[in-house]
Amino acid sequence: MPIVFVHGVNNRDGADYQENELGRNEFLREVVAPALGLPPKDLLIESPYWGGDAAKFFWQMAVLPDDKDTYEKFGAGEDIETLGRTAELVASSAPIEGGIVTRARQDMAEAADLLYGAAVASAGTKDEANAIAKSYLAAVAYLEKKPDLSWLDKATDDNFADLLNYHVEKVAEEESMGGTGILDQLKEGLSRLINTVPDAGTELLNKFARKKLNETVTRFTGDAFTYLRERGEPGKEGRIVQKVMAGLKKGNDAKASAKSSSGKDDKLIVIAHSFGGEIMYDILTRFWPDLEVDCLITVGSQVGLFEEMKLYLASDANIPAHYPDGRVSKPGKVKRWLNVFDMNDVLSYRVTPVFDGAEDFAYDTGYSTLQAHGGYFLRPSFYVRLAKRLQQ
Amino acid sequence: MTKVYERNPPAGPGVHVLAVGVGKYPHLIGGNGATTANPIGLGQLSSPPVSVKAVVDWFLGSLNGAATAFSNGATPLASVEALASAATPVSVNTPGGAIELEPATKDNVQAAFEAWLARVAADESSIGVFYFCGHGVVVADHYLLLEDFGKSNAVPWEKAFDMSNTMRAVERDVKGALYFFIDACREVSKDIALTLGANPSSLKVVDLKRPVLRSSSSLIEATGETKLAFAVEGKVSRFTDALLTAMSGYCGIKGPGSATWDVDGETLAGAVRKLLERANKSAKRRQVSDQTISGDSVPLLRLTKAPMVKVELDLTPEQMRALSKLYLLSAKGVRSDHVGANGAFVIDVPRGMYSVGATALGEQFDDLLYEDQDLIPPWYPFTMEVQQP
Repeated sequence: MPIVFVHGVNNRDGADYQENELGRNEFLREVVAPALGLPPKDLLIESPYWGGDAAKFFWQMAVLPDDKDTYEKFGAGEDIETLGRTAELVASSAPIEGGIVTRARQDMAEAADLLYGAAVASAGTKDEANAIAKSYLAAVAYLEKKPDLSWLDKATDDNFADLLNYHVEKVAEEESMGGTGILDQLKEGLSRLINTVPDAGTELLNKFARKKLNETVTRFTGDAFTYLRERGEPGKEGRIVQKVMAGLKKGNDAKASAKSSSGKDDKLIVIAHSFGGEIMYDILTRFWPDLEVDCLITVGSQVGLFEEMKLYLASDANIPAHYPDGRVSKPGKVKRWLNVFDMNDVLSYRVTPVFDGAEDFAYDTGYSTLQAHGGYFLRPSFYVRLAKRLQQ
Repeated sequence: MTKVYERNPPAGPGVHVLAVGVGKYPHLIGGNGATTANPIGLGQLSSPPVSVKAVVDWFLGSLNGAATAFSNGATPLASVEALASAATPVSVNTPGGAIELEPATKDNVQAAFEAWLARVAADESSIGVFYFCGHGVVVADHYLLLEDFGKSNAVPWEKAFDMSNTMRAVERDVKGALYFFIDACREVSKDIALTLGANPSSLKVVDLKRPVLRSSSSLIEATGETKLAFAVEGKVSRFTDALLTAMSGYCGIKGPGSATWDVDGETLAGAVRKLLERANKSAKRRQVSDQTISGDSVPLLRLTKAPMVKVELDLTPEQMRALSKLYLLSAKGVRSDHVGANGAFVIDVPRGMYSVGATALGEQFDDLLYEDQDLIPPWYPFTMEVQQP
């Protein structure tokens, strides 16, 4: 079964993009694939990259105020991208005041989410990311059993990762005569969470978050303008559309190939983050309207907003004929459309007020944040919730 | 006392065993002592006490009349030192009655090691067997953790030992053959690597001025560097089970004119690797043995019966198997048949040349025949395939 992931704005190829993809793919494989009835090893993930054809800033966004605020503020060397992602994770959560153990005593699931999220932020290989994803699933299973957490009474920030990992892996009924294979990554992630990255709410992190938000909005605006100017038309597709369609074609071919070899119906799942949703909508309504998508998942996207503004090739200004009556039909070949938005993400929008046949799904952490927009795929819990929704 | 058996009189060539199993770690997670400041994610184990008992029972089995046990007419069992740390004491049956094993603390292991080394080194035709099952980690060398690991927060590693350098030391003291069976993880821990002082000493200092004396050395480890070793809780570990199975008549080579089937390091290593591969088919996590064999071929075992092969014969597609009869025909003319409707054909047969085949009960497919199949211990898995029209 293929999943095509269409990224959103603010993605430019580099270590950060690649490590995000590494972690995301393994969580999709281990958490989401089983929810679709697919063994993790059989999942094909296609991630067309279009960031290279998106907006270019010829003065490197020098127009932004305070342009020297970068990850180096945290005093990091070569690990600045990892620290940046960890900082985003912290920024999208309640403050870690009093340490990770204090947080765990209040909300163990949230603490585990942060710990594994920070660990996967530094995964250097597919195997590492996969092991972290599997262990996170074991942690979710452990916590769902409402276990005795009295071990937290004696836990400290220094040994929290040791203890959590031990108790999570212990329920597996198979013991290893040594570690569990991922403790180093967990401890490094924890170290960044509690030592290197300042607490959310501190001036430095707020400044960092504002800077990130500013960059995101700027790049979003740039990418949107660039796309709208250069998307082309059916038969003369622009480069961004071409690249995304090439990824979709690989996924669609894999689906067809699976059907011809096994005789069973396979599925094509498309996950579109942020502006990737708008690109997918144009493709599914004009560039490739015959493409059959079994499930379209738009995450933190503005598909509804752009239709409100009638910016798609397929937009019809006569709908609604008489506000508020009338909505636009979802793309004809899309069997199911899930739209995920975060209450804290200022760049995510609902689709159900505008489109018929779509489902809105709120992913609400309940925490205040300045920049949740990029955080969905950093949080392991997001994949678990997505998997549960797909099973419904 | 850690000695559970010593031949009388003790002198002369013989096999000397030192076996250590550590499952109880009071200062690691879940222990009954104060947990050490950095438990490196490690806790209590239930398999090592069971595993060490199985190993000791297997060696002592020949003295106790067991059907499958240690056997070496030229180099008989001469002594067994054994230690086990467990929630409940571990006992083994010896010719003199049941003996409760001493806990595997650093002091006890050190004393047992020195006694074992002195016995192995006393005769140049003797064979030393060193078995360990418990927690292990790798930094520069392979470190093995003993019961009292972490007793002191200041020097927690004082109660562990460096296996790699211990081997180097032993190889300079012993002229005979050495077998090291290490059933422990070999995960590389950055956390430990970044802690100065987290490097335990070996059980004997290594005098590099002295030459390596041993005639052969076989290091067979449960897993490869950076990898983990596993056990189902409360059961003999996966590696130890493979080792004991291999030694219990599932490997061996008959030399020219020899009356016995001999098991040296190379033969044993190959069998353990195959048996772990077999176990991996049903295991959640894969485990592959790591092995270093060097020096002369000095058999640890000399078996009087031909080694057996675990045959797993199958036919695909499955619906065709149900309509078939599977069979084995040995070069000596001994035939074994199996009705395919009962599932795959699983049988133990002596090693040798066989014809393997399947016949259809009706005429659903043409008969299959594979002649001159060399069934080499310990495992022969083969799925025959019926070509669909």
